[in-house]
Amino acid sequence: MNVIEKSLSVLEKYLSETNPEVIEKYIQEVASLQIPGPLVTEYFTQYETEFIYTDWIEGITSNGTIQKTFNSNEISDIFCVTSRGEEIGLLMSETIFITSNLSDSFRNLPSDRNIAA
Amino acid sequence: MITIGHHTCSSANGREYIKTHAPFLAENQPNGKMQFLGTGYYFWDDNIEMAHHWGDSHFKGNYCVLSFDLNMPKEVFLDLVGNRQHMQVFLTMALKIQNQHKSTVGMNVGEIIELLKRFAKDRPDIFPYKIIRAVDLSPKFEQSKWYFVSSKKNYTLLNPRIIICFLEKNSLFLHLNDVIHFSESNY
Repeated sequence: MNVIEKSLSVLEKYLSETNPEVIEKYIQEVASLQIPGPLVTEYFTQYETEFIYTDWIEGITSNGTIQKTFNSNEISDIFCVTSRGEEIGLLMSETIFITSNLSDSFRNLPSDRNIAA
Repeated sequence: MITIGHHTCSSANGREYIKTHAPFLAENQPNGKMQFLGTGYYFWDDNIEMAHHWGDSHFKGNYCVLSFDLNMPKEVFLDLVGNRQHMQVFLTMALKIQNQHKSTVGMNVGEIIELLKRFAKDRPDIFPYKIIRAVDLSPKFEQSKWYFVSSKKNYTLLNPRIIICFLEKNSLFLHLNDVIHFSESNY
């Protein structure tokens, strides 16, 4: 039995023998990593070498969701500022180059802030 | 297995600090941003182009690219790129967890890895891996797509993005080779 086969075998035994509450505790621990953070308060785009804050605040809804359709030639990258004052790149920005479906571009955002396709 | 890993980081702390302290840990963040393969030290598998792209897009041009010699012994290497058995068993493990604990249905790869790491606190053999490798696919980033034959839609990617995550910084497995880019631009 090699390492990966042993992993599976031990996992099967672990799942059947371990108190489900213990496993559930770990599951909740991991799930908590995805707890939504602060809301998006503004966002801006990067045009090659210049950062431009836009007036696209209208694209942000009351729950922090960004709902704005971009032309695929319009932007090269998106960053946002959160209600905590953090500036974060919106995320895996290489997927934003073609933006016909922004929901994919924002796939790492917590689910309640995902953009409708 | 041995490969070259390209690691991108901010250049804000200066070249000497980076040479001493790199690679830098990528953690799951309180804003809900999960790392693709969980918390760890990330490298592009021999992909200088992606290392530069990452620096441009995530560090506003102020970034450093380093190359590391990566040694990935099979005993601690979960290879979701070139090892069919690893892929199949990892999938089976995820499905078994989901079947027995419905609250995990919908968990993504990064979360399953984080969960297996936690199980391994009780039973280390469940997840003995220190290095994970996977292909980072995105339907919108397939410039290297090549069709096998002209009459079919089947294709392959000749330049896929492959990520490698080291769970710990271990000099046995990674060695800084060179600082191949260092920029401090002013936007």
